Amino acid sequence: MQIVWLQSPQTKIYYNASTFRHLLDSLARPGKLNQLEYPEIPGGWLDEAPTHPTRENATLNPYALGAFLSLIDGEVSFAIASGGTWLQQESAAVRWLSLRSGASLKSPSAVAFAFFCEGRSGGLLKELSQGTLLEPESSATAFYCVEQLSDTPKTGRDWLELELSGPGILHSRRLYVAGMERSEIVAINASRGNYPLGIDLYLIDTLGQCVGLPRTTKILNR
Amino acid sequence: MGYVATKGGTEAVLKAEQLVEYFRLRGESEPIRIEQIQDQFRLAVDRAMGEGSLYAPALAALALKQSEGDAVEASFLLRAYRSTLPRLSYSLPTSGARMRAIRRISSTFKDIPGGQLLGPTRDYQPRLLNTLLNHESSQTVRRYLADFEAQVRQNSPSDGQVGYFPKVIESMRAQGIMAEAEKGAEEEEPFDVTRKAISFPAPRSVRLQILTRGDNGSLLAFAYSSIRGYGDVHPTLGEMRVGYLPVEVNHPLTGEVVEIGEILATECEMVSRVKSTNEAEEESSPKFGLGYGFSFGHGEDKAVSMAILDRVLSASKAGKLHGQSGPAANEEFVLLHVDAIEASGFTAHYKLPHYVTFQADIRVLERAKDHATAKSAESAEKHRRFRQKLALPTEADEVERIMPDNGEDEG
Amino acid sequence: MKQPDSLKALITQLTAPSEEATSSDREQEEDTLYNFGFIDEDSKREVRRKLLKAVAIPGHLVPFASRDLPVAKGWGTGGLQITLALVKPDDTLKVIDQGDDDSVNAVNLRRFIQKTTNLQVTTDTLEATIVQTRHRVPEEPLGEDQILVLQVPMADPLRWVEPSIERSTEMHAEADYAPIWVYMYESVVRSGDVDISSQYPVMVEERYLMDTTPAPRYDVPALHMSKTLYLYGAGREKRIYAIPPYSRVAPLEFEDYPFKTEQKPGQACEKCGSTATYLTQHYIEAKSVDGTASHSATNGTEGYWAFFCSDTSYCNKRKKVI
Repeated sequence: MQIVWLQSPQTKIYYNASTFRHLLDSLARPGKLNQLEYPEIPGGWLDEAPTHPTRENATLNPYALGAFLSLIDGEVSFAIASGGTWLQQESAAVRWLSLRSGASLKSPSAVAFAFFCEGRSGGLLKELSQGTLLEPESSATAFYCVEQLSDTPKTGRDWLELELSGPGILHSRRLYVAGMERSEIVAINASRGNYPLGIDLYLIDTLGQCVGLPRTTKILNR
Repeated sequence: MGYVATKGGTEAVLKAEQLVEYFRLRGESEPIRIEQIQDQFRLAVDRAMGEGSLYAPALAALALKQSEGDAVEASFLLRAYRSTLPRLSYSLPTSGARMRAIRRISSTFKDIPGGQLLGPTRDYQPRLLNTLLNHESSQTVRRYLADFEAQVRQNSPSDGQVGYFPKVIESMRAQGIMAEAEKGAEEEEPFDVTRKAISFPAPRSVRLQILTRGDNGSLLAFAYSSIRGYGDVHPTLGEMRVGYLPVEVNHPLTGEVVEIGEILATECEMVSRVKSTNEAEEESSPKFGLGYGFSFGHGEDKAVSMAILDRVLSASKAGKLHGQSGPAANEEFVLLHVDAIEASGFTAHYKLPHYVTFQADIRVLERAKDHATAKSAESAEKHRRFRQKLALPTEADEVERIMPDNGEDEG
Repeated sequence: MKQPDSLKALITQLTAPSEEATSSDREQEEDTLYNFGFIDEDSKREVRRKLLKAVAIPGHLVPFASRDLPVAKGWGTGGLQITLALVKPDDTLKVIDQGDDDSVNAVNLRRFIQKTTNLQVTTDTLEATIVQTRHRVPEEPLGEDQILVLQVPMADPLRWVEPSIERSTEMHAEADYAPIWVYMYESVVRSGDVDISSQYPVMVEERYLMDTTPAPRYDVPALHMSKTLYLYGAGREKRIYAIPPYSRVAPLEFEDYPFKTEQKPGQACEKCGSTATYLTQHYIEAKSVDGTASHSATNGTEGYWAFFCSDTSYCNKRKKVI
């Protein structure tokens, strides 16, 4: 997987560092909106970026792809799902990701990173590893592509209003999410009933705003 | 003086650097060339490469020059440099059987397939200081080399016959006296201790990597402790060979196997009885088990020590050690303490300023002192009250009774 | 062996990083032999992945590979690897040891980071975006946009009672912390105080027992519900752990033996007069008439012992105000 060498290393190094800082801050301060950089790298990553696997004429969220790529490499494996099914090795998105990272596609229960092309996993979240008591850090980290995130009140059918609490949050915090299914919140909460086990999550919207929801965050659907 | 309490830390650090350089050079002797170190301090170079975990003789020689011959410091320099190198490829598995050997011995049988080859060893030289070396000149070197080459030419064997030997262990396997290695575990992709976090219990590939990167002296001490008495593996040297091993990789584009060079290496296989706590098993098929040792360059002590430790740890892990097993049979204990870079780093870190924590220690010490004083006062008071209650004489009275002033009680 | 041109090209690209994104000034100063931040991108990525897990499981020890660095293991390589995995070119860095920016090891680490990143450095705690420290938490409260990186020697607080990592990992998994409580109880009975002076054990979010590094107890309260993210790195022990901001951190204590810091009431810094900072003892040479320090090799009675703030930058700030 030497393709990665053909890109401009220095720009990518800086992009990776800055993206990581946003991802770290997002996880340390759940619910805080962090604006990710657009992964526009000369000779770039976004060349031949795969289209959305299940939505016609739609692209995959480039911010989420960039952030996802900044964390994976040959030492880890990943899975990617769209429309409630895991994509297979032959799919363009899988080939694109593994070619650019060196990471391999594995069965969902074995992967360190999972990518949901929408704001729903369609019940797939529970197939990911929650870690073990000896190695709770071996659990998966999952990325959701959502429509929009906001920390100011939003009303309307499309918006979920979430109340967050836990480490990283002084008292509690409100988060508004568009493009995420209500049932997904139920699935997320079901995956974190057994602390220290659990899956750590990122929500990234179409404008590149990023929110972290580590396993420690309690999520109340208002 | 004032090494941290006062301002000037930066200046002190820079001055220390200058002093190091001064002390390296102040003898004003001819500067040693890297080439000379590489040729003439061959074994020091090999050791630095082994512990530095980087096969690069010229860099190891440079590291030895820079560190004024300090073995651990030289390997430290190599390790740090190694961290900056990208991993272009993983080499393919090779086998000792493919080694072009310059030395090859076994102590299990007098005659072995392919024969014994003593090779360059000091083992049977009396260790007498050779004062002739005081007068060695390039002329004597040239003459020696010419004589030696003439000798070689006289009875030179034909090409292609040199240096390749079958493995002694293989013939022991054919005889059915070797325990089979656990399959599966052996076939797994080896764990890379430089890229992944280790945990215990560890796979064998972790053990072998840590041991081969380990400090010669530490390996020697642990192996010695086990064979001297704190352990009950009684090994025999199945085979040790020193020679050149090919390094092969898959071509990154075509996938073909390509030889990219060769390395000098030492390989050792120790065998010892596999004992079983299960009597039936012991009686049905008594076997020998294998311990494997490997070191970059010519490093016999290390390869032998490593092979012994590998054998001890395998036996210990299988629960097949009898009697006292000793510290060398504790995998975590051995593997976490043999790395020269880690051990020297942490041992030396006590040279760093600790005055913040020492101040905290002093405070805890003061509290313990106050506590002790208070406690003894309290117990003296209790004692006094108790005696008062029983109407016993007070302590002062007691002293008076035992040691009267006049000392004439007896009379 | 013949090297195909394509492979050669790849190697050349790899070993000579392009400098498009850097300013011309930086190009000149950067040591092109090394990657930005010294360690290679794959190693940084591994540290980053582990940092994220550490933040998600506050106080839990996360194993990481830990590369060899040009700094001795045990001398701050864990903190250093975290810092190198964090830094981006617009960061401002502060490095302290014992609270002092000018301590020899702080100087060495700062020099190394600067050489490989060309970052801006500062001694002012409030100016820094990242503070790397050994043995102290800075006196000035850190803010939400700062990160404190702590160098850790031992990592596992159970080492006091259980040297085997295999066993202590199980104890953490089961939250079986009885042995450390027994250890503390025994030392309270024996000496009226817990024997552990620095690196005092704390419970994080009521789940994981955590080592606070050999920072004095004085620094422990700063960890509780802090505004700042605390990242801990133990290079030799190959462990990373974290306390996210606004997390509950409670020192182990008994009802009748509450947690006590080292502070002595009334003691003040002889430079800035502060009574609310961590102080350390320093020997002051007596000055002779001509103003030079007089050395007394035979007895040290001519000088005296004074208490100063260990956080030198804060002490200097206070002095300026006074």
